[in-house]
Amino acid sequence: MATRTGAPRPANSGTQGKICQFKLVLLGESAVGKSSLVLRFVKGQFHEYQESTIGAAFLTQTVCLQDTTVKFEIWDTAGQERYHSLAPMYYRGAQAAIVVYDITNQDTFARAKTWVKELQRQASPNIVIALAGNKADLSNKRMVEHDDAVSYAEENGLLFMETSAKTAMHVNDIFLAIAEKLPKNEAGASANRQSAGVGLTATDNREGSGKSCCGSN
Amino acid sequence: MEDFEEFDDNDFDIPEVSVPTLESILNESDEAEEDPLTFLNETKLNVLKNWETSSITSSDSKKDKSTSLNHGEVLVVQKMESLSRQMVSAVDRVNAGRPTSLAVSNLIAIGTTRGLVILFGNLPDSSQALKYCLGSIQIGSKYGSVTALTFNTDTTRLLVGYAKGEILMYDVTNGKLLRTITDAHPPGSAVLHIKFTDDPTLAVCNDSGGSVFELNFRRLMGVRSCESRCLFSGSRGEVCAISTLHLNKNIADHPLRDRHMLAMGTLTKILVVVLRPQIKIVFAHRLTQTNPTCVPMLAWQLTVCHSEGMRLIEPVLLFGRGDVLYFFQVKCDGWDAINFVHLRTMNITYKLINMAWLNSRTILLLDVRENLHVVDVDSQTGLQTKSIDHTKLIYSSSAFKSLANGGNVSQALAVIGEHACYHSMVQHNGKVYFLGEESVLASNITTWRKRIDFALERGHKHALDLALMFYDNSAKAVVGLPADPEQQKNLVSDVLLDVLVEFVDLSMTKLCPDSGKLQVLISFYRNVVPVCVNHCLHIGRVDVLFGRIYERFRVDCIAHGAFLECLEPYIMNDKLQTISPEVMQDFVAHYQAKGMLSSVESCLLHLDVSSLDLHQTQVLHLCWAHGLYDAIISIHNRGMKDYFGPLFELLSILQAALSTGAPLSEKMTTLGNKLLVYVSCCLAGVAYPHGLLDDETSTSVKNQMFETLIHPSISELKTHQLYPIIHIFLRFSTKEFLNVLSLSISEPHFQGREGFSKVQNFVDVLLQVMLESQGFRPDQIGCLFTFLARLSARQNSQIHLNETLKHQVLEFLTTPSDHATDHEERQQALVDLLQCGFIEESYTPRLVHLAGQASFFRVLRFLHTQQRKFDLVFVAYVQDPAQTDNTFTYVEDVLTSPQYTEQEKQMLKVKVLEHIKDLININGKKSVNLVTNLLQGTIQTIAAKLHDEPFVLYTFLRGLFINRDDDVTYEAPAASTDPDTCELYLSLMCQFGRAEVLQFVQDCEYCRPHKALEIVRRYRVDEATAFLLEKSGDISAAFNILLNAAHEKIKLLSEDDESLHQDDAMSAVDDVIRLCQRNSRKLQEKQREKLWFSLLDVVLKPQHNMDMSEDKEVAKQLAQRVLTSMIGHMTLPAVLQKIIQDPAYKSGKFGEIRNLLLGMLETYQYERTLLNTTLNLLGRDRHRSLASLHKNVVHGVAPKSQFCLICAKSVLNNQQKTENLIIFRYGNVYHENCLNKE
Repeated sequence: MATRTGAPRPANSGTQGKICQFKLVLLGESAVGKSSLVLRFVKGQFHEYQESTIGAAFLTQTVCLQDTTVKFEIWDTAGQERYHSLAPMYYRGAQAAIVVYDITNQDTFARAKTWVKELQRQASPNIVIALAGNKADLSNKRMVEHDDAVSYAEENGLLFMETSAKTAMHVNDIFLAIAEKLPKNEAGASANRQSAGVGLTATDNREGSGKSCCGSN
Repeated sequence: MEDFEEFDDNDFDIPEVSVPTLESILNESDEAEEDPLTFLNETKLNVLKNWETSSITSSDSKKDKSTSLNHGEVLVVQKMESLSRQMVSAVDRVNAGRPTSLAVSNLIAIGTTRGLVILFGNLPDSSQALKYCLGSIQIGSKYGSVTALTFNTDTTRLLVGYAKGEILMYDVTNGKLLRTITDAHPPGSAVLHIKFTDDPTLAVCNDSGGSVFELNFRRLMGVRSCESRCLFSGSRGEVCAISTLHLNKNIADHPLRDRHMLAMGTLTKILVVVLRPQIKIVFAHRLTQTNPTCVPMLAWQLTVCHSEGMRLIEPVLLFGRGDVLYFFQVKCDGWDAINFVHLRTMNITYKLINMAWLNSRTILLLDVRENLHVVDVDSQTGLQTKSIDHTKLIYSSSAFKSLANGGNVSQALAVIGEHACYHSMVQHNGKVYFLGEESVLASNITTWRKRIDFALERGHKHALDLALMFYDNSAKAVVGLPADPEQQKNLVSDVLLDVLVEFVDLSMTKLCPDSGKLQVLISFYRNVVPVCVNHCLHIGRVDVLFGRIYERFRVDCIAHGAFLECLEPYIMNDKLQTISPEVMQDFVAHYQAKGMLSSVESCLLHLDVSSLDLHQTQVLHLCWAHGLYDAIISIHNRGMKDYFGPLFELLSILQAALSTGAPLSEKMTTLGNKLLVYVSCCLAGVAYPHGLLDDETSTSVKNQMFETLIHPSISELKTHQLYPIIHIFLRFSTKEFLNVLSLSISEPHFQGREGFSKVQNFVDVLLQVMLESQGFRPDQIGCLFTFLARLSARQNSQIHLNETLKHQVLEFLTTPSDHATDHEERQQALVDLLQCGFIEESYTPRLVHLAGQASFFRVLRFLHTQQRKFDLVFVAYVQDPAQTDNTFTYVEDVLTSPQYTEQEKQMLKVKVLEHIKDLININGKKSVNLVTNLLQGTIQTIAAKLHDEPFVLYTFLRGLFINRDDDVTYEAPAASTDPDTCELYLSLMCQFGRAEVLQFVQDCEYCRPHKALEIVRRYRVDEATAFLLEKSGDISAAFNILLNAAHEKIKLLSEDDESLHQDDAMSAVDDVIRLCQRNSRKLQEKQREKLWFSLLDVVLKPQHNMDMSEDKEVAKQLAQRVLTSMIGHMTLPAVLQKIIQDPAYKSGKFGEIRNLLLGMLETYQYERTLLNTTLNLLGRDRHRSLASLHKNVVHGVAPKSQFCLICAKSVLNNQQKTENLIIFRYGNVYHENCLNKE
């Protein structure tokens, strides 16, 4: 995570402020780069030939905001048509969703719109939805205009960024933007409830999880 | 009275109405009231015209027309046919003259110009029979025309006022003349108004002098008499409108009863007085309207107020002038406390001439263009506008001008008379009557039912809209609806439905496009159906929608289809939750026929199950037949509270598909996925596919589903396997099923002690199923292990796994995988496990080994950190390709933090040195920082260490030196000033980064020159060598080197495609030129010549060999450039000679050297011009200074005085003429001798 822009390093000693845990789901047509986005975010890696996801993959990553540590539990769903019926399981109860499309493919944008519609109708009402136009490095093959996506996102109250898992452009930014937008108070409380015994483990974990937020995982 | 004063002063600021008694009002000298008169005297006719035109434009309002569209026909205006006919015939027959005024009660009285009064019946059965014809033409010729009429409250008496001032009283029951009153008011003034009060013995009249009199009728000893008393004198402002308040007879105990309230309107004021027990003024309001042609208007209306359970009758006075209307309510809190409360002020866009109340919420306004405006008072909206200008409305102008009496009225009154029509618009009993030249009109508010009928004429949609307004109670001026909202709604909805059904009937027959394409027809129905659905939904009568209306649509198959399809959006939006079974059947059948089963399914999910009537409609049958699994599950869940029946049945289907061993079909995959989602919904206790369950169901479903999942045998599933459900799901998709579990376990249901035991239970079952039975692939087992790891890693989870299993899990997790996501998932699980202390100390070494194999660097880092082997942590950082940059941060952290012991730091340092090569490969600069800041003085060591790897060393040193350049404040490490290091770097740079060598030798002041020279020579870095040589003073050597380089380049030029080398050659030559130029000044003529000419030779040389091609162009350009640069350093003849001698130009063709010569000539010309100009400038300067000197010399000077300033003797009376005088410029004069002496 060499390019963790905007995520300030936590102080080496002293406890963090709040620790919030959020469930985040990635949705989108197959081969738009959902897994690549997550891998870039979580591991800072990029594989030119990423295999297609089978079932949903579960990964976590922690980012630090000013006073809170946000732990994302990321469900990276499979994009292939036959897995679509599973999606409700993953976005139910999710606090955030990233709907990904491929800027070089108009169909994926249309599909992203239907995902957004489905989320708005069936996911929890205050879910934070981000729209990510991936493969921004291939802008010479662009088929979806940036302005179209921006206006669509504005109409629907979505966060929007064009990302590139390959060049890492805006990958961390979009996750950070989501983290910023998520309500910290109640969710933080729920996280505390889930980890009643955090106190001790948190200090023990500092080598690991603490490092992971300053980008050394 | 004091109340009254406060009321006025505070709220309305009307200073002149401060005296409460009428006498004082009459006596006060009120200048303000004279304003209109003076104003009138001054104004000319054109002013009036302006007012007219402006009022006409303002009354032309399109807005009113548009609003009338929404409200329908609010007002109906009808000609009273028989009455009008009789009136006309009476006028003709008895030569009665034209009608002049109208009074309406149970009778209708019409006065004429010839003094007659014709009485008609005005009964509800609309018999308008002529009753009497009162008076005679004789009376008419004596008294003039009838100008005012009034009935008393029980319609037994009629008072008739005449133009010449007489007043007659008739008994209308028998037509007898009872009284002739001739002395009620000053003679010579017409009666403008006459009004009965509620008391039949008291009437009020207003004459054209503007005065108001009360008339008291007495009957003493059989003699009828009349006494009159002046209430208001016209000399203080003429009253031109009066109105008495009539309280209904059945309001017995109203405080205003028997007080006879009278409103009077002058041109500037409205006054209200009570006449009994003594006359008292209770209200005054100043009118601000200044237009003299506007008539003041007054109208009373009784309104019913409900306050504190009491039904209060409170009169409202409406008055106005021009385009402003005021509403005041009379509040009586007792005998003396009569307050007028301002309700509202209404501004309108047209100029009014009369007005009347239609009912307590609606008023009717007549504007100057004889348009009627129906206005809703509360919302101040115009409901309808209607013109009656065809009626030839009667104006009582002649009475106001008092023409019969010679017109002795004030000018103001005469002007107002133009628009006075008080007696041609009369309100009685909710109806307003109009008197025209040849007709009488009656107008009233249409009942709601009629309005719908009227709207129907304009189209059904209008009627439906209007009906909805009635239904929502948002319509204005509603007449005829019961007060009870419930009844009202029922009544309206019945009518609305009738209209709707009629509309549908028409749509199906008359309105329907008879010919045309199918598409046209469908889109027609698509417009019709939503109208029906919307209205039926609005009034909550879905039964009619699916009953009468549906029947009609059903007749036509296209309409039928359109109807059904139009239902879909309503279902999807949850607006329509129940559909009658019959329609549902058709609905399903239609969609089935069209093959749109998914729409049916989504509709089924939205519909109320109880309305589906499952068995009859065979919905379920259909769902099964077409695999509408969502619908099946949802219907069972909602309809029968059956959460497991469909699960088992569907699982059986899935099992059957799985047992074939073949890859699953698309449909089966979908089924499996849906079941997984269903299970996850159940475990979370929410409704499938979305929505929520009530608490009780939610809890029971959660528990039951859990129990069912881990139940060893399920009889419904015909299988011998234990835990069949888990088995099926695991076989279907291990990973997804485990994801379902992961997700579910994070629900609060599985928290706490009880929750954990459930989870433990589940895990045991899972292990039993997967590990103890055959047939699961390793990757499936892997998923299980990942799941277990994740589960165990959950904070405060208490899942117990036995040791071997644990190790199994760990072994599995660390098995290398080529799938990146999978790899990361496992690593993450492992890290989580480690963090929660899952793995005991003793196993660590093995794990380190495994993690190393699997390149789980995060795991390694964690393990090493735990063991405080920070050197190994460092190694794990270096090796992890994703974390290379953080290596430096880490080392820095460790070495600077006090948390670590010296020994640990030392060990880390050793490791860092060991891996310095890797570090340098990652980032040279950071490595240098690291080495110089934290591992002091070891650069030489590192250099020695990296002896075998010159490139790495180069990168390292580059980091060292480049750093210095980047940052000004950066303190150069001692090492970078060390000559040995510098030279080492230089030599490496010569090998790996030749391009930077020159820059380096130019900048670096630490290298020893001879060493540096040696190095650059060794590696043949020409530019650097030349620079160093030049620096050491060996110019010719430097020159030679550069020249050689240029020579090489030029050679290439002739061989290859020149464009490639052209720039190279140019820059090489430029280098040489610069060298020459730099050094020319320091050199002797000879040396200089040598340098330049050898350069020129080199440049000219290729031209010898070249053909006569374009190639030469480049060479020539070069030559040209050298020659131009030479000039200034070399003499031109020398250059010319050199060129002429040159073999290239020797061949004698002038053409070849022509350019060269011309260039030189040009230079020569240029220099000569330059020289000339310079000479000119210098010459001019010199000349000018000479001229000024000369001028000073020959300038004459006049002495100031005649005496030498030294000897004080006169210079004029000079005995010796030869003696010289010296005069200074300032006029001082001296003898030469004297000056010399001084």
